[in-house]
Amino acid sequence: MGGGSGASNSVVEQNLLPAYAQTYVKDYLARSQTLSKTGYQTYQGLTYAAQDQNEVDGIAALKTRATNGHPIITKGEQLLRDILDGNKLNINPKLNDSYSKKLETLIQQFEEEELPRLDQKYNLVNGYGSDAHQADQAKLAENLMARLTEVGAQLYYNDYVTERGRQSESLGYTIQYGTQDVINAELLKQVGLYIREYQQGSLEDAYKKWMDEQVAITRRLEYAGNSIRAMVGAQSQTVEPYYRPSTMSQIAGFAFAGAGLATSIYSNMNPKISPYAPLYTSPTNPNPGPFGMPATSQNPSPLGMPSINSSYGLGGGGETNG
Amino acid sequence: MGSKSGQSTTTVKNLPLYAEPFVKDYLLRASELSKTGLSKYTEPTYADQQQEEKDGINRLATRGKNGSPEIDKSIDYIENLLDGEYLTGARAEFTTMVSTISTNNTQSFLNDIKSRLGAKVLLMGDLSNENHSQDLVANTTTRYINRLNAELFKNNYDIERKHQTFGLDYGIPFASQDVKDAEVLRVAGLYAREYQQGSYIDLYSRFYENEALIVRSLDILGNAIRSMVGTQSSKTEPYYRPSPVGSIMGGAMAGAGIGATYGSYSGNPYAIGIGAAVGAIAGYASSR
Repeated sequence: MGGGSGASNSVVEQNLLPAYAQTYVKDYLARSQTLSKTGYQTYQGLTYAAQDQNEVDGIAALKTRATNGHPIITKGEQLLRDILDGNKLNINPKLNDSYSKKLETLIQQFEEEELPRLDQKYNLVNGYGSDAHQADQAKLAENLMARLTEVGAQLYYNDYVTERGRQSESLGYTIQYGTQDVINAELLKQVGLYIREYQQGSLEDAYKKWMDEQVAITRRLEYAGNSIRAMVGAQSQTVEPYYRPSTMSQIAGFAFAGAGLATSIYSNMNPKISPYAPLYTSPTNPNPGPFGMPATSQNPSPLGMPSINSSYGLGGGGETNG
Repeated sequence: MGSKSGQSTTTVKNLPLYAEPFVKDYLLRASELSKTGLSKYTEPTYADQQQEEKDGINRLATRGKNGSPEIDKSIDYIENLLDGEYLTGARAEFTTMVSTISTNNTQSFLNDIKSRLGAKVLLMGDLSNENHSQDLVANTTTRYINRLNAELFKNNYDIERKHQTFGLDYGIPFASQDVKDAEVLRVAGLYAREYQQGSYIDLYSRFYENEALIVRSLDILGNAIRSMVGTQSSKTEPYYRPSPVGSIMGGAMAGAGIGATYGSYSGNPYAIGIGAAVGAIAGYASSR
């Protein structure tokens, strides 16, 4: 503040909060402080739901399915393997029986119809047992062999061709069935993940409860903190200094002013030529104007100002007051 | 301004006086709480990997490495088709079928047909066992079997050519299975890594949490202090004050003027000097 006596403080209050609100503010501060000192009661209720029995059962069923697969898929896979291995070729158990029955039919026709008809024919002409008769019998046998060949081809070959076709057609299913183990493995992993997710949720819930208790004290404290922060800026008070000349300066100023006034009074009371007067007067112009210029009646002062001695009584000239 | 300049300090309070007791209490309690510190969490925060999950991942890995039996057989089958192994009828399953037909027909002919041939007129005293019709069919089975076989092999070739073309339809899907197996194997590794990565993140989080505990405790007080920021501000600014030299000069000039005036009427030739000296002293004194 300069010299200790050079400055002082001024207090400017800007009350930004209406007066009628201050009561509430004080109440707010007091209540928040009280509340912040109140003990925290941790939450005693449940915060993590127990697994529903259906969920547990569902996960268990998924695990069983993933571990054991499904009978249809297992059988389908086995069938596909057999087909692709060729195990279904030439194994039709009904073929031989069917062949026997067809053979039986052919033999019956041969024995009961064809041979008797031929024998009767040659009997009528007394050619029974002739070379021609026997040659025709051989022809009948060859015809029967031809039909038998067709039967064999129809049964065994057609069965083979059909099964070969199924072997190729099975290619359309093997990728689906062949990836079931991947699906089961994914399912089993997912089962583990379901269990782990629940456990992870439980761990996180426990951590949150622990954390809630940890921050409870701080949170309580911040009840008071918030109310205080609400106050900041609600009202401002400004303390500003203002400059005031020091006492010595004031004394010196008064002293100079008093001395000047005194000398003026004394100089008017005792008109005496100053030793320095010639500096301001001219022998040829005993009545000089300001700046050493003559003051005439026509031109009393070059600047139109009255003569310096006319009213101020300073300097020593021809004219004096009174 | 140098050492001769002055300073002014402006203080602004933004908190009502009646709030100060609350603030002091708040600061004190925050300080005590921050010294108490927060405790570490010691319970597990990352769930163990379940056995089912491990088994599933292992099975994926096994599948990825070994493939599927059905798919492997299909791939072998398609390769055989494309290689033309079924075309010639040389494969065992075909020759077995052909052999079955041949055997059955031969046996049937010999046992059930040939034996029924014969039309000899029985004459007294004729003891010969001649059966001309049976002699005529002695090579019948071989002949017809050969004819049939020729037809079967020919038909087999035609049909197997269709199978060969049919195999092309599945060539690409099955040829992509090794890629899928590789993906399955990679995914198995990814699942394992994800869990491991999760455990690392958990470990780091716990480490970071413990590290932050100290700072968090400290910041309970810091928070309280930050609440105080802006409640009071003080600004100091310089202002100009005449230097002592200037004051001395001014005082000397004023004193000299007064001395000159005084000397003009008193005739004291030293009045100017005395006035200047007194003025200088007074000017210096006023500057302090």
